[in-house]
Amino acid sequence: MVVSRGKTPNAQETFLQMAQASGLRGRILITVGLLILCRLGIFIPVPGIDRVAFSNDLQGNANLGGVIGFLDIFSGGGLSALGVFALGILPYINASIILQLLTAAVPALEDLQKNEGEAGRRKIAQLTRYVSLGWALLQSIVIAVWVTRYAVTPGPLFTIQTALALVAGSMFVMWISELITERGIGNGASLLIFLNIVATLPRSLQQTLELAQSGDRSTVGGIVILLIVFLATIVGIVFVQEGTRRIPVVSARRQVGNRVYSERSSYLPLRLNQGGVMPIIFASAILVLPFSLANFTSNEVVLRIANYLSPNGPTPWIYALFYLVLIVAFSYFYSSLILNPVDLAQNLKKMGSSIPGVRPGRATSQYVQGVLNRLTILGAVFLGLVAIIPTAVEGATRIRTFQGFGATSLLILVGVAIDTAKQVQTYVISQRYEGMVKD
Amino acid sequence: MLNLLLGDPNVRKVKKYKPLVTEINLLEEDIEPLSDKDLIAKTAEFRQKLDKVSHSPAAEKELLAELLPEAFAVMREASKRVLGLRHFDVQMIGGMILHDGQIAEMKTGEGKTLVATLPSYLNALSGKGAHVVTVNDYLARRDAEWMGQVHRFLGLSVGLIQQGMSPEERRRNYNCDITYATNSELGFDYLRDNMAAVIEEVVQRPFNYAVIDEVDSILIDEARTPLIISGQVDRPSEKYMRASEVAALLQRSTNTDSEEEPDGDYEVDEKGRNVLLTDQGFINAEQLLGVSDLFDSNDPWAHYIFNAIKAKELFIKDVNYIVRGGEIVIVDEFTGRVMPGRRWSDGLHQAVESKEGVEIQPETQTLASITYQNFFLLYPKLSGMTGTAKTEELEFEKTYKLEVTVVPTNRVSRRRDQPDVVYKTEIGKWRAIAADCAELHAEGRPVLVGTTSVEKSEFLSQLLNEQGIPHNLLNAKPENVEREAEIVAQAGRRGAVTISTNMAGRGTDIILGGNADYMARLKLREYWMPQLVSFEEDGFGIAGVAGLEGGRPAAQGFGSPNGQKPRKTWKASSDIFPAELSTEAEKLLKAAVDLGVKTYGGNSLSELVAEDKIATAAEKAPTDDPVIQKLREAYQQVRKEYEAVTKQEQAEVVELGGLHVIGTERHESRRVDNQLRGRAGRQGDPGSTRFFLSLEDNLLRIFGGDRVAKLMNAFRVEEDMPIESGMLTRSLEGAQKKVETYYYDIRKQVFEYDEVMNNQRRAIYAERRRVLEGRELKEQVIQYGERTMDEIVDAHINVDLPSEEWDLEKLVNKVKQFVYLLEDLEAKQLEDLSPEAIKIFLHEQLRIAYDLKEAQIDQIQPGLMRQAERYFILQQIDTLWREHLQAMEALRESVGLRGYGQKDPLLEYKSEGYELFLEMMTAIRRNVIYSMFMFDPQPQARPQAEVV
Repeated sequence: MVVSRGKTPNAQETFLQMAQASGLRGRILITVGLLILCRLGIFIPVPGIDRVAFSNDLQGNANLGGVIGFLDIFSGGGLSALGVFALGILPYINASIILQLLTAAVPALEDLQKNEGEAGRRKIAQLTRYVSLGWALLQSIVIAVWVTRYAVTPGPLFTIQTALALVAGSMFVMWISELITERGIGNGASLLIFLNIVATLPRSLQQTLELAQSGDRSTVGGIVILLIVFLATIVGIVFVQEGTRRIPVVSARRQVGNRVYSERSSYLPLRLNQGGVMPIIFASAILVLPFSLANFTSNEVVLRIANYLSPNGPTPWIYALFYLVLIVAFSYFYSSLILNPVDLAQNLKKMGSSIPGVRPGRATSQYVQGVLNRLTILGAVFLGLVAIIPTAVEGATRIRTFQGFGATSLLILVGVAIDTAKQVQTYVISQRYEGMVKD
Repeated sequence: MLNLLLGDPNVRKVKKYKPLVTEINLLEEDIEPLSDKDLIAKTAEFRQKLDKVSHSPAAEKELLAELLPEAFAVMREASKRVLGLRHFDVQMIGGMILHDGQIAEMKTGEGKTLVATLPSYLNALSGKGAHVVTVNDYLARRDAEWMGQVHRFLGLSVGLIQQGMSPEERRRNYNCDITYATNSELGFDYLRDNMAAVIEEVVQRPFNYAVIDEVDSILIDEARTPLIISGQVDRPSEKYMRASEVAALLQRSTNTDSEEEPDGDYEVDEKGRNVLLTDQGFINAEQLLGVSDLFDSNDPWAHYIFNAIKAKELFIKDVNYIVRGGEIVIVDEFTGRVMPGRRWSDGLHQAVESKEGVEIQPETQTLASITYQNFFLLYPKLSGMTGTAKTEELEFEKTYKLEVTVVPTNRVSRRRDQPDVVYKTEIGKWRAIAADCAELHAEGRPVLVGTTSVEKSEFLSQLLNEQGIPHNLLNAKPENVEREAEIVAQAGRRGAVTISTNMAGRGTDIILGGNADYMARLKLREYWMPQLVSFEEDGFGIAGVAGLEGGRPAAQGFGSPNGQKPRKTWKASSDIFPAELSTEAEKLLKAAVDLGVKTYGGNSLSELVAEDKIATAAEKAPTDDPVIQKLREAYQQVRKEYEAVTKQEQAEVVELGGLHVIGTERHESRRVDNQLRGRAGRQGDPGSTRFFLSLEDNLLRIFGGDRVAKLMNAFRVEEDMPIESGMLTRSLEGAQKKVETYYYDIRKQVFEYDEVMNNQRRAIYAERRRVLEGRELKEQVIQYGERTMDEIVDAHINVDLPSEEWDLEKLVNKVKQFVYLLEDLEAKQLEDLSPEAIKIFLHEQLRIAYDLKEAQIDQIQPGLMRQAERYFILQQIDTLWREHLQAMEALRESVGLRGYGQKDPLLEYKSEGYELFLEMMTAIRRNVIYSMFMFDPQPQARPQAEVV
């Protein structure tokens, strides 16, 4: 794609304009300030816990460390530090996912989402907050009970106090995320997740560097290969993320008026990867299940199955295949959840639009369904590859310092970065108009 | 709860102003003894102080705040001397709120007009102009003449903008310190100014300050309707008629349950005001039309069919529009008034015309448009007044950054708002209303019944007729509109029953016992009009509605379906007048009319002008015209005689409990309800209000949801038994809130999208204005040229390739295509140069070529080059902007689908809109450069004509 220079200003100009756009400057400052606040909160410890014993245990117990480590990715190291923001934005994210799933299942919610406009969406947002409160309560009680053994003075008071601190922290973070969405730049919840993922980057880098300095030639080679694969994955992810099929659409109103202008911009964009990061998350969650089950029951059969399904087991290809199949399945599931072709056809009718050569109504929904099916299979396979390859290369090179920077994290990072950049762009645009007014 | 803790925030806001009021009151003692001359000198003194700080807006603002108490005190004193009206303390508070750029909520009859004089005086002192915005021409003129006296007395110039004024008059009036105008005149003048071909045509100055009267009506109710200047487009009308025929044959779906496949040909979505064809409907419509695809791009029918069905189902005669003189006239849902000249867009109006079988008028294309929202945001400081703003406080703050403050009333209101009564069915409700009317009528209390449409008002009227209750009917029907003043004048009389649409809401002042002013005015008309109005004038024009002076030619009147109408008599029904006139008053009247006939000649004035004379005579503005003076004398006499009667009746009515207002349906916004309620209990009079509702009302049916439907079945009560239930009241309130947020969200969305257009409009208008003012025109064109050269270089040179592979030949050809004077340019000259160097080289070449061109042109006629530059730039801007408007409209529609790609439509609209805008700017530059170099006037012909 050729981008003509007159249109898209270079980075320097853009930054200059960002600094000049007064509204934008304020928003960026608010966002950065709130994000820093969130980071700080992670290091405010929950009171009454014997920290030394806790961190000793964490380091001593590899298994426990692993689980916490996984959760740390999304809470930015909050769990291992046991700060008041340990739960972070996670309860809110979970609540959003729960509500998204429920909206598809419960007609009353669906009605709110579809037919009540902005007011309905506000109501759903309110519900999401309540659900996240519930979720945070649940999670914090579990954690509080679990850390009782490190308590300075164990007892019900400690449990209540810890749970309260964690819930309050989580609600505070949720509020901050909404503040960012409203007064800052980008989507608050996404940015917080983004921040939490990025927060672990310095440590990973440091570990990698240490490894490279201490290791032999093959380790360095492995790291280089890993880095290249990583870059390639990022490129791949941008493709999956941004890939869209554009179905042209004609509008009855424009047909009558001047047609020349509408044709270029009038299309229905269908994304290659409707579900975003969700299929991967669900697939991983399911793949972890036999593992946990085996740990829990210590059953011989389950253990063997778990072993076969492990990426580090004797048959990594079975794991990979399973992973891929699950990702494809969940991609279909999610795409059907997000985009209902019947509603789409109805909506096109409401707008007085139609896909050229396809009858409005049922024929349109069938046509869209067909396109969606083909798109989803393509997108899902691609997504699966992007998810598996870095893990595979990691396994082959035996360098684990980048663990956690799997496809999930990268997808989130890329998605959030693109969205936020776009939003910043629109502020810069208003600034440019302003410049034209002033001469 | 927060209110309990912190106290009413409004009270605190008002409290803030109290010390200033005290200060003004203290100043009054110093100012009162001043002579007229000294008082007038104050203005000059203020101005001098302001002149010193005119360079800095911040300092000016500070100084204005400092001057406020003294200026307000001066204004109060002047008003006392000129008009005999002294501003109350609460009016001072109102004035300060307005000066602070806020909205002041003031109840009916609290003297908003007088309040507006305070901030307009203060803000006009800087000489940058203050605008007082009213809703119609009549109010603008009345206020300019009446309140303007005080301003003039104080040495400020006062201007007035009226429909039909010439550009010179407008410019002169806009140049005054204070200008009274209607919102639409202001908006259209702004648009016209930005279509001007030469700077001399521009009439407005840069905006400074505005006070908007009835601000909620303009910024909220009218927010969604843009001001449009349009040109006509030729399009065949047969399609509309065919579509209407087809629509009439199609069947509406009967099952509205969304779960099942709907039967019939189409569904109606009342909430979204939309219709949806079913799959079968598409097939049937295509068969009826004999086409294979409604969306066939060579023979598109879909739009016509959709519109025809909408016209059939959603646009109802006597609710949404009336048919008048072979035209479809829209009835405004908020005010119940007809809006002549306004048309539904996108072919909808044509579809309705086709349905009603009247002549189908040609479609139009937008040349320029702006919404009131964005227009008024152009003012650096904006303020407004209304009786109902509090309910929409949030919207004012979020969208316009206008705070709302409620000004306390001068006298405590004695209005009682009685709880709603709800009936199960609509018919039960109407019966109850009729019964209530009958009872109150018997008691002797005046009653005003507010209905939501012409249709319903007539239904109730019929019901009352059956019971033999005398009443007046006020709605948008021409015969009723004509009698509006008459009906309103007697609505407060003993035992009067008045049925009205929302027309009797905003701005209607119902005076208990009857309005002696109006009555006297009507009497004047009876004598004056038949003697002075010329015969050709009164075809069927309606007083106060006819647009331009001169009105409609009579020939068209004869051609109307009504045939030749009998000549108007201007006779008001005799029972409106409370008393017979004394012979003395009659003599005075006759003398005034005789003088009028002698001065102007018998039957020689247009209706509008004649009406105007009466209006002036009835007002208090000073005049030198002997006829007006005579007329005024007669008017005063008549008024005095009537007032004697009405005063007594007023006392009786007050004794009985004052005006009772009956609402028959909740409106889409609580504001409209409150406007209706506000008719009762004006200026401390007693009064009461009550709403009669039914479960079948539109609002509940469409927005009430399932709950109300279930309630309908749950209540197994008789039709004419009122229902009382807490749950019901809550659902009712819920439904109304839902509607309000629903429309608020729509307006918010419109505003967010419109912001993009607004940015672009301001950018292009600024560019246009620079050209119009002719500042450095040549530099401008050369800059265009340089940008074009840069773009050509960028498009043809790929920096990533080695310089040997650059297609310089093509580049040079492109340059020659735009600038034929550079014919000697060779690709070789550009070899071995970097892209930057090529650009610089081309810039030099361009400048040389342009100078050459200029020399050529100037030989033909000196100065012609500048004219050509201006002409070509303006022409290109206007043409391409017009096309751009359409492109943006198409984009606006298509981004709605982006949500399916999980993209934010608004963000997409912003960024793609920006791309479109840049493309337009590029096209403007290129076309201007091309035209400039191709410009080749022949010396022998008149150069001016050649330019065109």
